[in-house]
Amino acid sequence: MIDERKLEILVNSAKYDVSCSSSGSKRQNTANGIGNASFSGICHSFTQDGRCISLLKILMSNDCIYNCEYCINRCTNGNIPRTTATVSEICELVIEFYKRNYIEGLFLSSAIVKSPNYTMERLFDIVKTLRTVYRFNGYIHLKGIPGADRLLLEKAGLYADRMSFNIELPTEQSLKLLAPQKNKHDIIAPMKMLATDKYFESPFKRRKDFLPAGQTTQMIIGASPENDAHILNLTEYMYSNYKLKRVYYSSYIPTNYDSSHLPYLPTPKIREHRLYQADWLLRFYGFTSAEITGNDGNLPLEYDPKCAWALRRLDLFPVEINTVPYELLVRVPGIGIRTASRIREARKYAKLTFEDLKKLRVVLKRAKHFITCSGKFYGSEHPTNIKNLLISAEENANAEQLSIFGIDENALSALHGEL
Amino acid sequence: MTIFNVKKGIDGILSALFVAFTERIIPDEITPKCQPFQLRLENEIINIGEIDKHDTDRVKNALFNYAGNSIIRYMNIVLTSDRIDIYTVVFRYAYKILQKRRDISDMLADEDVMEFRYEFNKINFEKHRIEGFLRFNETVNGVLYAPFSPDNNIIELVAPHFLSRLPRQPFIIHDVKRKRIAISDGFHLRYDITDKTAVLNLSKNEKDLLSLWKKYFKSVNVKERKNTAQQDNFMPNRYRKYMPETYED
Repeated sequence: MIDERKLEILVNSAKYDVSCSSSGSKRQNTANGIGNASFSGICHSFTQDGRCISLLKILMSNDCIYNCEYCINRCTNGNIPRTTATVSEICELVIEFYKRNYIEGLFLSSAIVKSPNYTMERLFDIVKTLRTVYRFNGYIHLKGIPGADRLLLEKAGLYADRMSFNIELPTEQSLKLLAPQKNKHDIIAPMKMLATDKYFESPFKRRKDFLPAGQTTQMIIGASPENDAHILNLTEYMYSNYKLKRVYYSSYIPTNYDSSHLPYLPTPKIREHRLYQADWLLRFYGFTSAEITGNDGNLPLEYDPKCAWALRRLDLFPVEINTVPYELLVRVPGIGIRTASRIREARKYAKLTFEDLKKLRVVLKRAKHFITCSGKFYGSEHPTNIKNLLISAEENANAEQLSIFGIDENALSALHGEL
Repeated sequence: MTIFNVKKGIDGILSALFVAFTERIIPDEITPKCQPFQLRLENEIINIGEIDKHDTDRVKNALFNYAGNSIIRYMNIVLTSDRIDIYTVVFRYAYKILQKRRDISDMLADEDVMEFRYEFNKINFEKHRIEGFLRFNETVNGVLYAPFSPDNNIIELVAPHFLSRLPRQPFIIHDVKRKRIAISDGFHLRYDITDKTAVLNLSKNEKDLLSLWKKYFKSVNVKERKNTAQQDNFMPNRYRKYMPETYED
């Protein structure tokens, strides 16, 4: 069994990877096997930073040959101890934790040891052993190593539920400056390859078992000077071309104070939060990145991107809740996907009133400026007033988040693996 | 005010529906026989005794026809709620299905439908949470033991999830609040009631693994991003009693 000190070192080096979800896979248990995957994903605990523990997030090794300036594991960082775990240490830990219902599966990544191919081979060994020797059928999220051989990556895809290559930074220029040993092609090419492989035949014919939960990526926000418009354009491009399930954003946390290329202060968490909101609008609400960011290229921090869009397009509002098409209904601030479908169902039977909307959990303090209900309008008509009211509604909502009682829609979507 | 006093469980609801339709009485409240209630002068209490199976099956079939095959399962799920008037909530929903003669689950502006769906979602949400928050301890003889204390009576909804995950692995899940246990011999589940408190003889490994788990929980936290409000929101305090990683050292 792995010892505590080694676990601490490898987890400390892995924790800056944001991805934590265990959703998207319906893997069943096999004869004599242990575990299965839950399609919606399951969170097993929550740490003090508010993030969930769903998978055992660990590096195989933190002994890196690369020198990415933003990364805690860079080879020039003499402040951290280095170690490497063996195949059996990781496999045994996963099985024992899984049995006790501590985790949903494994999130395995690694620093680049010796060479990309050497590292990828070791990672492949771990997932293969876990699946074939330990007969583990829980969730496995495997980090792909950019620059590793295509065949190795394809083989790994047969054992993992999800794979991800981190795009790291939004432009090639920033990547060259901050991670000189990585290059754009090595990251993009395997993402493209896995996306195509999933949908078309390849030498391995078991397409159904190939990465059932698809692939994701992650980029660091605020370490380089790109604006939100640039980030969202890239996100939109990756969703449509590489069939990604998620793009994760990680606001920059300084781990290297010696670099002249990196900001000294961390990026505010609110910027990351607004980007996630914008990401949701891209994936579920039918927005395009150009619509969301507007002219100045950055998302406003004081209210959410949907409110910002609605304020720019006041010519479309107010809309009548009983007749407005669904596509525009989901674009009304204060009405989310769930609420919009509830409204669509409910309005088939009777004309809805403001009282009904309250029952359907519409956030009226935001929505009332943009809707009429059976012809009645209770909002404000002046854009400046609306703006101020939306800002104060946002401040109150933040205060309300402290509540620990009741069912919170955010909590629900976190537990369902959307967050 | 008319109160129907019915047998516990789904049969009680089906009997109440049968009486309500045949006798043309619409009750204001339904209470199960096991639950005490306050007697008031103005209340008329009607005891619904044993109803012929043939008659309750008629009600059941009508519900299936109008609202689909899952309706009884949904009603059973909602009945696990700890809400004091839960029998009334389920009765009103089922009554409305029979009255309207169709599936009413999308009539969301209707209060009875909203109540039913709200309870249904609440229970499923807790079931989902418990599937994550339950913690097993390994005992010397290899049996896993997990105590918990949920808001609703959901042990029967939760246990099958673990049977499919841990086949051939004997385990016991113990609802400490309701004194109910689910026992798996590795192949089948059985439910029982117990007054006993578990005295655990933990396996040799258990202490080391627990301390590894605690170390992991501590290390994976990013100190610079402290957000305990969010932690509290997603993992309410009432669930932490049986989650060892949250205990202060």
